Amino acid sequence: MKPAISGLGAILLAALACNPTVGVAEAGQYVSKEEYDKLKQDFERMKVMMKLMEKRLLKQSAAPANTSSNSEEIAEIKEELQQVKQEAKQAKEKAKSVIPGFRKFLLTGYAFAGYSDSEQSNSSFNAGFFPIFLWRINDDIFFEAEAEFELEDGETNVALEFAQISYLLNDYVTLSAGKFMNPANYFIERLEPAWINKLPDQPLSIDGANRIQAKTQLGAQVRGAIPLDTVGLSSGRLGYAFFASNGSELKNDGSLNHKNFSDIDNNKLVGGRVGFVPWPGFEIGYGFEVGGVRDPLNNSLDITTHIADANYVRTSAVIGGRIDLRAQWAWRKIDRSHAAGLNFNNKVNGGYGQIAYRPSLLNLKWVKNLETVFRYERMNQPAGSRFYDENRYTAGLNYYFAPTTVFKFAYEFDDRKGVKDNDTLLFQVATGF
Amino acid sequence: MTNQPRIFVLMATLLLAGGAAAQTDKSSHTQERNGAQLWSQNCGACHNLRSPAGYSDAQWDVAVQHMRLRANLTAKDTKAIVEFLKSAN
Repeated sequence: MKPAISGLGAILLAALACNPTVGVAEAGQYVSKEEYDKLKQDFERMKVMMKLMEKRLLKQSAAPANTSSNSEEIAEIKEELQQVKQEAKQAKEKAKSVIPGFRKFLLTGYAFAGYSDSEQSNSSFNAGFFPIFLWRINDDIFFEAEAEFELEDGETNVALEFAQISYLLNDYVTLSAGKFMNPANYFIERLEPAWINKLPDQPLSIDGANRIQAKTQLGAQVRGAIPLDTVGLSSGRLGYAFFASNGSELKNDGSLNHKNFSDIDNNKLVGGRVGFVPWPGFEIGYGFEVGGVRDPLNNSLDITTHIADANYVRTSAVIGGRIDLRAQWAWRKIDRSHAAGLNFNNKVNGGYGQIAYRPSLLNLKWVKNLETVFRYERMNQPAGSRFYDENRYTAGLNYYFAPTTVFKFAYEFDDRKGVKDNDTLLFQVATGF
Repeated sequence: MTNQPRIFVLMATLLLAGGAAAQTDKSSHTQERNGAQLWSQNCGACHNLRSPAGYSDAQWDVAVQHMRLRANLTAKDTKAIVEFLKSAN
């Protein structure tokens, strides 16, 4: 800046030097009083001009410098702000991590309370509470357990629903051991919790008399998922689970005791399921179980079970909400026994089809929380056994107070072959937490 | 075959038909799905969706690991879902 002003002064002096009047003075000649006064006026005028130009230059040179300075300051402030945010986030994470058990443990689960009024039994209230404990030991080891507290037959039934430890071998394979939900049955493994199941009770093939499969298995399993893009498809996955377990025990009416915790007949059960998910929301699967049981004559009888399932869930603006379709059928065969009371063709099959619709995309608060459900189910029992065929139609209406809290109302039309029908009215409120 | 298995076959056929119809929605299958979509589609296949704000980051780590094992989710999808839930809570 200073050199610029000096340069300007030099130019002005040069200009003065070029002035004829000044030139006379520099030549050392005498000047008159008038000439002197004029020179003095010119000089004073030049000084004023220099001052004015100096101010202008200062102003011009100062303005860009300030803008640049402001930009730098803003950038610095932004950077500092970013650092503060980062530090705050780290502090928040650190605070969370020092809370005992916070990083690895989660208590979740569900509970229900209900009421049923059947034609063939007294009306009754009922309730259950199922806490689920989850521990993530590290990135590869995971433990999960569910306790069951349910009021049944005049007492509180306390049970260990499942408890298993899993090791994630890699992205595609997980090894688990313990007591686990039966992976061969889609409903049992994924839809059974009361806040997920869309009706107050479970299908006959799952929870009825002479039910086809055990809800849980005590043993070990290998499971995982293979993304189909690894084999060149654009999307989808193949899920699998295979297990070996203690299996079940044959009862004296031809049905199975699934609480075979000590494997009293020393026959293991092997089973599994493969589920094909071409895209999320649609899955078809096949499950199986093979093994053996011993009859009262100590003969080993083969047992074979097949299960097919299909599931489709979609939320679409075209239908104004969400549609949920489920279907599952299972077939079980146990070799004929010649023991007294068991000498019949021990084949049973059964399953259900269910459709539910919720207008979740409608802009009406009360309506979009409603859900209608219809389920058809059937059990074909072995001829000659004490069990009877059963045909059941259930219509239900649900209201969701929250995504995991639902009130259910249902009416079942239950036709039983050879015995009195057992229509039932059901209410239930269930919550997942 | 009795009437009942036929009804099951009918239901299964309807499900397959529904699935085939859904397959025509190319945009939902071929486009790159982000964590939010994976969360909605995979978790919503069985149950209503919990709010992402319902759990902390650490709790989602545990909860989604549980669901990965139960529902046979792929490792890649699991990671994307967890990242979405952590960003949205």
